[in-house]
Amino acid sequence: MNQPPDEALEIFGVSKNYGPTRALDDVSFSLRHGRIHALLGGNGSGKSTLIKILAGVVRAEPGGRVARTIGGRRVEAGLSGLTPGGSRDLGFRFVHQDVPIFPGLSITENLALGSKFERGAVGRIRWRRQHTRARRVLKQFGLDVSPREPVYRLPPAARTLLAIVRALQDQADPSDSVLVLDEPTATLPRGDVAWLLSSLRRLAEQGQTILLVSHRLDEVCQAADDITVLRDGKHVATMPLGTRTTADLAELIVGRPVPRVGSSGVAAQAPVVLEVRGLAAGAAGGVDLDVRQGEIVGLVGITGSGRSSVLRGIYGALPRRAGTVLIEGTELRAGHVRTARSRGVRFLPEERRLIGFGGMSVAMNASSPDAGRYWRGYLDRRAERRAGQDLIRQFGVRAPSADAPLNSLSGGNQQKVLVGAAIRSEPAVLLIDEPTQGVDVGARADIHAHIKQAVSRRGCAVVVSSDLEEVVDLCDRVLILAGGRIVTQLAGEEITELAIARQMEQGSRSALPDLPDSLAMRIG
Amino acid sequence: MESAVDQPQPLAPGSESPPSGEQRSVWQLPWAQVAEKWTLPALFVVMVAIFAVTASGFWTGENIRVVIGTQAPLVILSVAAMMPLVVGQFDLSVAAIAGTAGIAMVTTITRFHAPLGVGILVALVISGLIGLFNGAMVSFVNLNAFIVTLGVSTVLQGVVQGYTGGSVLAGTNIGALETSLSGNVGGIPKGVFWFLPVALVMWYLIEETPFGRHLRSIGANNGAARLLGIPTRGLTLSTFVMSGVLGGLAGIALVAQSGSADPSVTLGTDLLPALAAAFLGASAFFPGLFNVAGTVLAIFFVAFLVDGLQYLGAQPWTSPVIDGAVLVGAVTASSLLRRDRVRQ
Repeated sequence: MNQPPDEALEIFGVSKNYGPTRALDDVSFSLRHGRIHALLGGNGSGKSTLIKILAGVVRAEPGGRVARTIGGRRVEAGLSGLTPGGSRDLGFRFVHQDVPIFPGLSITENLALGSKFERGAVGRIRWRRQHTRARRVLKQFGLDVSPREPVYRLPPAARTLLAIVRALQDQADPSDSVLVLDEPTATLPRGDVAWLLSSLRRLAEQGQTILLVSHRLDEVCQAADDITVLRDGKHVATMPLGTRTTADLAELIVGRPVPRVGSSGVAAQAPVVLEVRGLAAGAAGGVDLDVRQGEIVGLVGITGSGRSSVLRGIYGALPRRAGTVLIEGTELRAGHVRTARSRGVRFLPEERRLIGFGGMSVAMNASSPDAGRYWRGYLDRRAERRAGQDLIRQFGVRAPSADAPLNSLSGGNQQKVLVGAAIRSEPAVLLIDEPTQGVDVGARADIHAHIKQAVSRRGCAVVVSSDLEEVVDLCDRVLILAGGRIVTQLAGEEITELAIARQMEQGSRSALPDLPDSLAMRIG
Repeated sequence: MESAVDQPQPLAPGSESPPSGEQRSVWQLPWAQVAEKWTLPALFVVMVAIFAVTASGFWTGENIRVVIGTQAPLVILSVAAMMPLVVGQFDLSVAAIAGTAGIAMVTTITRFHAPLGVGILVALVISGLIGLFNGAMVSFVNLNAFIVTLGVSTVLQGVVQGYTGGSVLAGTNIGALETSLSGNVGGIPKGVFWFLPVALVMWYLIEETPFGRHLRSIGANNGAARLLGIPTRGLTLSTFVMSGVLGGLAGIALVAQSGSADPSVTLGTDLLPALAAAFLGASAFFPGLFNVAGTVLAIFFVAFLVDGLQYLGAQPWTSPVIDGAVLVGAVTASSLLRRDRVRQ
């Protein structure tokens, strides 16, 4: 922190309306130079909207302004007419959750696409010069890899860092820009997160100002210097993190204490609801699994370990190469989603946009695809809407009404609708991939409680999660996968974040081929 | 803002929903959404009122009946074009199918001396088979609907041109069909008896059955629909079959209207007005969604607009200009409105 302690970014009076919804209400706060500043808030708190306004993608209502200090000079700009180009000129650099990295292209090409190609006669790209340039940039940011490597060979965290490098490569001085990171760790395995956070810390020490948006409060506690909390579109507080714990942050975000739900014990005598034998589908190769009535089983493992393939294979969204699946003792037809659903299997994939119908109303999404329930020679929309309203209340969805189109809701609220609809159908087997990814802490506790309550009434659940805290909170039993197989099982008191992380590491080391030496990442 | 938004209440599971004093109906939606639903109907009323006052001869029972009656083939064609749009696919071959169906029917009757019923059946079966081909190529071979239907359309044009040599086939012996679209019954133009049953059946299918809801789901997010076990391929195929059969029916209506089968129908002069109506219709009643009621309204919106302007002295060429402008205008308006409503 060798920068003068002045403000790197000041935000004044930003508001935004979406139709009748006020997404942001007169928000003002500031960021200090060379600090990691966490922007916190629940779903629909206005975080994403604020980021999009700063990026010039969404127009703020007139009156909102920002001030930046660039090279010792103070620059002010209105936010109601900000364009993406204008945002760039103000020094904003963004790296979003879905990193637009091109895995098939080399690191050099990926970097050049964010900047420029060195060109020779007749527009030819001067590759040698290009690679040299890339090597210099990589070195500057402490990434020790060859620029000729294709990006798909990089570990996930290094890809995220590459996106950060690409965003920052053209600046002369770290104080020129404000780096905005939107959920950079949402899709990363646990081990990679620590590495990425330490890289961010190093950037901050070089004088880089970072605005970090994350739902993972443990990471915020690890990485942030300062925090700003938004709630319901309003500014709640901006302050140094100090000694606040995740529980303190959760309370600030939700505005009330958040209960933690402990695991429930399941009688070993309960009947087996889901029985999987030798399941091979996608990345999963030979998985055995028994889940009893009332039980929640967690599947963990690094990306590519086959954890998601197990869910898809059971549900029928992936063709089964081998193996059998029994629901309540009877065999389930392979690769046939409709049969699985009729037997009470429900599946929520990791990417929620894969199962939402954006332009259709909340009520329609909640009833889909079982609209037949409301058919009495005509579609009983009143009953459908009532069910939608019930869902909105039960799951605390922030929506103006059940008639509102799904895509008028914030991302987290869309997720609550989809998770809620699956749970309300009282499934025999609930298969959820990342149940609370991108959901705020309040809703997270709610969703956990709802899953537990659902299985206590009927059925069981299999949960895939890369959030170990969630796994510990939620699961009665944890299976660790590596290379498409179950390598260990933890149950009851054995389930701790540390134990899971250790088993995952062991499992992945034995199951994965070694990475080339040039890709070994240095932890700074 | 509604109270539900001000105080989010994530309830503990198991707790009963609070007593609801806020059953929302359409009328309690934010005014903007209501306005969007009713803009086109309101414009329609205003437009007719203006013409009724300014264009003498427009607001007579005879003129109103003629405009309504003559639109029957186009209404049916437009509903045909709309069906694949509901699942997010284009069918550019409906007009060519209509033309082919007309030729097929008249040929069956005059050349093979078949009764009218057989002629109609042959026309509808051929149309359905063409639709089946389109649908199979799109949903099972995964080809681009644009390309497939444009190709099929061009092939049909060629075949019809080759068979007829470009000349109109007179519809001798079409019997009852000949008078089925001219004049009125009990003061109602006969065209209404053509398009109203079609519109009602398709409206019912789309809006009031799980089948229609599944079609909407596919249109909104095909991958999601598949993950939920909705048979996306089969249903997509079915929209092309319906589109083909309805296109054929529109072709039969055209023969009934003119008393002959014109090979130039296959060239697709009616395609653009039909598509324009489907898109304009998607801005009314169920904003953002293709729907039958909106489509029918849109046809009459354009028809009365052209008719009124011609009473005021506009030339016939204004009609295609209006059709094109309506298509682009409707798409622009709905895109702008959505930008305001949806989070980006």
